[in-house]
Amino acid sequence: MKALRVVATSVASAVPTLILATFIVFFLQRLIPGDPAVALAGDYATPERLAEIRADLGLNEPLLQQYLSWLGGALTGDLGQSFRTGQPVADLVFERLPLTLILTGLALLVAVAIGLPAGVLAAQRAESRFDKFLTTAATLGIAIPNFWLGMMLIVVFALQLGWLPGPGGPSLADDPAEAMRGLVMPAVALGAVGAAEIARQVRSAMIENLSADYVRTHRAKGLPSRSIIWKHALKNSSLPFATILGIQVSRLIGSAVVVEAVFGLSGLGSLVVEATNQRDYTVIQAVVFVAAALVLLTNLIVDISYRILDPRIA
Amino acid sequence: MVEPLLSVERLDVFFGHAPREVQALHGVTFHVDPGEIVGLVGESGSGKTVPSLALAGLLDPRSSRVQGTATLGGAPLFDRAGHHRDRRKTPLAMVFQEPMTALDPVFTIGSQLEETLRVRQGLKGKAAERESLDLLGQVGISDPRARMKAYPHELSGGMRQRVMIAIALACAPQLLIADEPTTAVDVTIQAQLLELIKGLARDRGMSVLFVTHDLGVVSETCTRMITMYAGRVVEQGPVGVVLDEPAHPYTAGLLAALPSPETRGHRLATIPGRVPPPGQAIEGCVFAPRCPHEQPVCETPQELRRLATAGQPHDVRCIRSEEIELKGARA
Repeated sequence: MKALRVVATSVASAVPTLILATFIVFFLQRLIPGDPAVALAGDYATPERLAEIRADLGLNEPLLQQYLSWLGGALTGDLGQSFRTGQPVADLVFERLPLTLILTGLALLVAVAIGLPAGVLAAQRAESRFDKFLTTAATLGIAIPNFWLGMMLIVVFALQLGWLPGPGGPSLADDPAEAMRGLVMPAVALGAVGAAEIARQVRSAMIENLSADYVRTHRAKGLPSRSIIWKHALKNSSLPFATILGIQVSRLIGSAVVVEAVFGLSGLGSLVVEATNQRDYTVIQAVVFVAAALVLLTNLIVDISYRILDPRIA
Repeated sequence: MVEPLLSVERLDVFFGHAPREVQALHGVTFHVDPGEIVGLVGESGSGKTVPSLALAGLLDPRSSRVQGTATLGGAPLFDRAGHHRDRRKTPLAMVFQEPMTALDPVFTIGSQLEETLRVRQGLKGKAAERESLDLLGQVGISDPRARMKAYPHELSGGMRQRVMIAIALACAPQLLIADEPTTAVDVTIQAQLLELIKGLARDRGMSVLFVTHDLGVVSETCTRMITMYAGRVVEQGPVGVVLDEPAHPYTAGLLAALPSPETRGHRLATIPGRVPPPGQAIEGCVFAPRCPHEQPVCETPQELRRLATAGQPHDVRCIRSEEIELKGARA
């Protein structure tokens, strides 16, 4: 019952955040220079034609009213139509969403698979040469921009070694296996920063825990170090780990925009780039709505996981 | 004469690395007989905790070095290089000072107990559960079945210390090292825990090495006591003898610092100065700089020597102990 109440309050507090995010983006995108009517009809359209298009799209209404009617639609599940194609925006978003979800999921996998063991091993040998190498590598990993790493990966593994397919491969629907192979490099490019962040957080949490009194108790009772490190100290370090994981998910969704562009993937990120170029306000708005919802969902999961991971949090 | 259960011979412990290595223990020699409760006494920094950490194998081999020998039940605890043998095969267990932090906060009492039984006695599943319930009962925890599912933060300080003792018993120890086990709990709980430890030692024929700064605890619990100062044994003997007629000025100073009805209204006695930090070179008697009975003769190195007068073995590291008048607990 308690867990249910936690979920309920978290969801209740998420709704205003979600609305605020869409509100900010709604007004920000109107500040982008350019006119969706011009983007649609071209530079040589007559003023009458432009006025007609604006009236069609509802752009003549007061801004606040435009926002409220969009919000009303969004909350009842209607995200509107694309200015450009007239397609329902929801269809566009859900067509692109799976690729982005798979990409960020893979990137998260890369981040955890590298970051977690690296952080634990570094903590175990704190101040050793391995630890110093890893800390330096992690700092470097955080500093390297993912688009640059992406391009370097393409140069080395696609162009020179030819091990992995470069940009422009088949889509998930056409050839799932080949498309997944094409996602390996984007996932690495996207997950590298996450791996570095996770390694750093896990390292410091583990160092703290390995010097705790309860670890001395476990050693005194003869537990093997393997079990002390990977079972006890790691579970005690799981709160900072869950926190950094949640932060990484938000970051990955944001960074996917850039990485999708580098690798020519048609996910949510490239959709929002296209929409911005076309001043396709409803599409931008919908992508932000979905992305914000994903971030809030992640935060909710992290919140609940705290309670599962640490019995002291009631 | 019985064969001692624990026998420690010229134990040296060094911390750090050369050239800045410091020596924390200097040729510590003592023994604990089967079923005996021995107090290891000293103020903070006297080095009283180091022998227990060394014996339990809890010193980090990367930052410390052990020399000398120690045998438990006839088996050596350290190999030739001073490394501790397998902790799992050593019938020794330890209870620590801080029950609040010494238990793993995110695992249940039951899982921590059963884990110990699995590692130490190879018990699994139902057998481990039965034994855990039995141990919790032995340490006086009511409703053990419910407590098995509890997390440490759901228990009081006294209960946690009982759980710590149960975990120690799960190691099937012949020697229990209790490092200030009652310092962090209040006085009524302290008395209960002391009774519990005494009872368990009696019932199981278990020896206890009781590390404490509290002479009151020693007089209530122990049969023999060892006073440590600056990483050296300065006095050892039967509790009654040492407390009534201390032979070392340091033991006498600790006794004088205890509040008692006679000292009511007076300022409490203190030992001036403080324990020299390990690594400080000392030529003669280590206690001389703080000793009210210091004489030029104290500048020569002092050895632990057996006092001729006592009926029971009573050793002291003070060249002047026959000449000086020291006030005991009863005097």
